[in-house]
Amino acid sequence: MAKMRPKPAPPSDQLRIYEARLDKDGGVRRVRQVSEVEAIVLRKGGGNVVVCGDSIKHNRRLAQSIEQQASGRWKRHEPHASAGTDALPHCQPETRPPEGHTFYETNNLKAR
Amino acid sequence: MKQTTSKPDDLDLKYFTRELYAKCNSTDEEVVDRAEAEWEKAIKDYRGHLRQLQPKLPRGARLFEKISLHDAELIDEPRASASGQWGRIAVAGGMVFDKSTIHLLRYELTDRIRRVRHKVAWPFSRKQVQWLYDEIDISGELGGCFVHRILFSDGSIALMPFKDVHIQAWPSELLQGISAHNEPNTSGRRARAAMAD
Repeated sequence: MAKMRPKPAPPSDQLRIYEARLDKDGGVRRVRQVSEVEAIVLRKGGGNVVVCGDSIKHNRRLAQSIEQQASGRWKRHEPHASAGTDALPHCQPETRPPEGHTFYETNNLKAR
Repeated sequence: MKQTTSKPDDLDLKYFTRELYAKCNSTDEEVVDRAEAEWEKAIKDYRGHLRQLQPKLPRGARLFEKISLHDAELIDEPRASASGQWGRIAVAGGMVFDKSTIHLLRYELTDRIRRVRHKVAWPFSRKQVQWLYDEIDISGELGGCFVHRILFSDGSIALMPFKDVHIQAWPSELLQGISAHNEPNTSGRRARAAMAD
């Protein structure tokens, strides 16, 4: 789905981006902190990243911005009930490749 | 097998609806805010619904509480056997599964399979059809039988009325001999038999 141009992300010191991996139950685990540029490179290579912070709006905007730069056309997916209590919403390409996802934390759902 | 005509209300998911999914992808941030809050409530409500349903569910269907096929690629369309007694769907990979893992779902059907393609606009790609969200429910219309509703990324919905379901996972290399003329190993022959209904 063609998306709107993402609004500017807030200052990066309010947000943290991590390389991430998915646990078997769908939970998202932080691996190491990365810059936005590194996150885009990771996403282009099919990896997972997660945006962490206290504001869902800011997290979502930055996740959209990363996915936009990594894959161009993207869509947003919400977690499914059977994906575990720690599953997170995410942006992913409209069509693959690249594989992987840009997850983001919400007010209630957090990365491990 | 009793044939029924589904009411329009039965042709969409009850919690993770097409409309809500589309709102979550709105270009209006305020709409997305509300939709994401609604989605979190839908997850909570659906889990409550499943808890109530749990004692009645056949053993095979209880696996759907633990297995998420979200993001899996549809590699074999929902279809019924010639007798209409069995239905099947095959998907590959998924968010928490390697791309080489194939899940074969075999349903013991209580009615015909429905594949609903709504006429309203669907603003997402219809290529690379993926499993998005699914729900298990009891269909009052079918006399208390179960129905599995699955929303796919092309906007279509599959309705699988069933009394039991069997889920098998296969590494994809075991299935490579199915359409080719290779002679598969023992596991491959079992996989081929399962896929061949």
